[in-house]
Amino acid sequence: MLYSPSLTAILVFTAFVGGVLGLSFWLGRRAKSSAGYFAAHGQVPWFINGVAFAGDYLSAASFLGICGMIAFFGYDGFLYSIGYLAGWVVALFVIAEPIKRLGKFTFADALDAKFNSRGIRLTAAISTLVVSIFYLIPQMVGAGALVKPLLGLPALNLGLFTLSPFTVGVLIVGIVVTAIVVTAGMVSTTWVQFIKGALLVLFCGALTLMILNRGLMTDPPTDHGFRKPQYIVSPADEVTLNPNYEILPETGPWLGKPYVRVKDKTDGILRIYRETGQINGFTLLRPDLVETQYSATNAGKILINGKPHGRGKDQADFYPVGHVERLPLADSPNTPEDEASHTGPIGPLAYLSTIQGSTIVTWATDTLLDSDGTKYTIYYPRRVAGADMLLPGNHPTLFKGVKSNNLYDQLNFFSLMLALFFGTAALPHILIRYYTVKDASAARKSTVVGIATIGLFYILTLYLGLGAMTSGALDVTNSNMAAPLLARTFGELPFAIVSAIAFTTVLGTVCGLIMAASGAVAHDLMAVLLKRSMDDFAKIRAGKIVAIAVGIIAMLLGILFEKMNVTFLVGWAFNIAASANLPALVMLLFWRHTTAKGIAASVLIGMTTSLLWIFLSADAYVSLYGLSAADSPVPFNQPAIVTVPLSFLTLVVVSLFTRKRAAD
Amino acid sequence: MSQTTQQNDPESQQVIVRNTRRGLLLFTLYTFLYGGFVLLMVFRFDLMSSTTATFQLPGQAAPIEIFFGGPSLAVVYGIGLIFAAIVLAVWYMIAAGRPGVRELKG
Repeated sequence: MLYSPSLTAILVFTAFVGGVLGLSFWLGRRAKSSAGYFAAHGQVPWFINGVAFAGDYLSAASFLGICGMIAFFGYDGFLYSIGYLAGWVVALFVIAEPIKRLGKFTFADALDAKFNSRGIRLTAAISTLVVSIFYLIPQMVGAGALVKPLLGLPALNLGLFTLSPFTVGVLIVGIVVTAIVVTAGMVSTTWVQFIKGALLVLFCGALTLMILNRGLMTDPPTDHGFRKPQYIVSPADEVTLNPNYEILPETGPWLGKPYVRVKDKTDGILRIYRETGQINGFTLLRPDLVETQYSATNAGKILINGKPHGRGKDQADFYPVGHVERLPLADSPNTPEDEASHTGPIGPLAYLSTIQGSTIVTWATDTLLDSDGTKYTIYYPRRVAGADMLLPGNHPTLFKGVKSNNLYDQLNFFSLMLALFFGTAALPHILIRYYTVKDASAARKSTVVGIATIGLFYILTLYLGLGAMTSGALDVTNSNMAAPLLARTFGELPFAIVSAIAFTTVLGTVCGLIMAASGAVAHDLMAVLLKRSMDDFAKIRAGKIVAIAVGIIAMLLGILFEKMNVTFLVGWAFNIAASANLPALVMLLFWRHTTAKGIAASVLIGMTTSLLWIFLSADAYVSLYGLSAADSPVPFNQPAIVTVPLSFLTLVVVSLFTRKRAAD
Repeated sequence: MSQTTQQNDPESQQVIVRNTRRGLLLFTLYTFLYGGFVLLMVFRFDLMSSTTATFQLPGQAAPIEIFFGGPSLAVVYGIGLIFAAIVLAVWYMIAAGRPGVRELKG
């Protein structure tokens, strides 16, 4: 879908980013020591740190990704919310205070506090880097995907080569973030996170109230191009109406597929209809056909719905979608016609019940490679019961295990829920935030504030996602834009604000990740491994240089991974964190026979087995290597259910073997 | 280097031990709630998708019907998990801040 650059959006966006940068420079003058740079002097007030936790954690994946997933697939997106928040419970009740009592700046510090072992520092630092990078890539991809439509950025022509709008977006994020991190480190990232966290919750709260106030309707506003897809009973009717239409035969890859292609002989424009499999009420024998939206790509040339992509005459663009077809009000015989189409303002519980009883039109994706080399991506509408959207299993691959009787699908589901549960407490850029508060009591309180903020936010995103699903605003090609597009149905200013907040969302998370990664390298790897004792100034300088390097790597990877699905990249990061970091952390805190070698082995084994599994998974085969899912040697995609216990076991076994015998 | 915070921790060892034990208990409780949710999803999907649940108690003639308020159990349980996390967390924070019994007794 094409977006026109909105002046309001650019102004608000520039104001936000400018404000954040300004704050960062001003606060940066205070960070004079490495304690200041890496850990904000340990003096951040607990409430600020708590909201900053939320700001750190609620990344593009949470805000845009979950909203988008709920908008297109319903409850599946909400499952992520539930899993993510449960992870915070683990962090609070098991990790937060003990880890605060242990260490100084980083995750490796905590693990090493009792042992002073190079092995631990090395493996922990590598693990931090790996997890941070896996978490960084989807943020940068999200940034690129966001900025382009928000600012309506054109490609940047530099003479020798042209940067795509996506690349420009990634570079903007990378440069701004690196500037923030280099100028002030943890102090300013904390304040960026705090502002971001507060803004996110406040604005999403406002948006939710607007959604509830609008209520549900079968005819969403059409000012942004929304229209309902056309249903026809038979293409033969189309041909009768217009003799220039011809029905193309089902040949080659089209054979057996539920599509009917109708070509206009005068201008050659092709329309694709899909069989809905539902019986038309009047003519019980013939199924409904519904119009689809599609893109046809061949040798770089792209046609949308049969015409070149654009907004001009003889050009076509995707139109926004997603609406309620039938409200439960219509079932009641006493409701007059006009009231059956609009609920008016309703409360939160009624909103959910109404969706439960409605029929929703949602859109799915299919691809087809024609025999002449043209790749078709077909977006088609489906009528789904609202009750089914409010249950898991709508996403084509992610949560299949819930309804499936296949053992491996079920294990995959358990594994993902396990990874989300254990992964949060082990994310390096979250752990690092335990060192920015004064003491364990402050660590506890800030975690609670974080949980309350994040939990509230996830409830709000449920409504945002459902609102986006039903407001006729979704972009079929990009689920990440669901939240901003929903805001746009309320006006240009809400759109601008949400977009700017979404952008600072990415800024905040990327800052935190770069801090964690730069801490890992400068503080852990270099200072300890190279046996170089650095003074404070050198440590900060090393930290900043590493921050720039990591920033550049992140930008490059973001550009490289443009086509990757961000949600499952983040899922991978959680799997790795849960397998590599959590077992070591937990056993260190609660089992006194834990040895240095046990920890190092556990981190190493957890990290390598989960990485290996991921790169051998069906998901990777299909998305990364372009191979067939059937070739994958591992039975299911998410490794946590195997690699987490394996990591625990490794730690126990190695610790028992390397236990120092007390004075024998 | 920053100071290690152990010396600065204002909470006494007893309070720390009590809080840790409480934390682990709450963690276990939440694990059961979360685990129950995941298991029900997979093995009792029919129950999770319904808006009411019917129980037949041995002594009663009529079954008891529980209405989940409109949406399905899946939605209610899911939102419930989020609220439970917040409630447990806040309670833990308030209770953890109170002085230990032994400290009160002197």
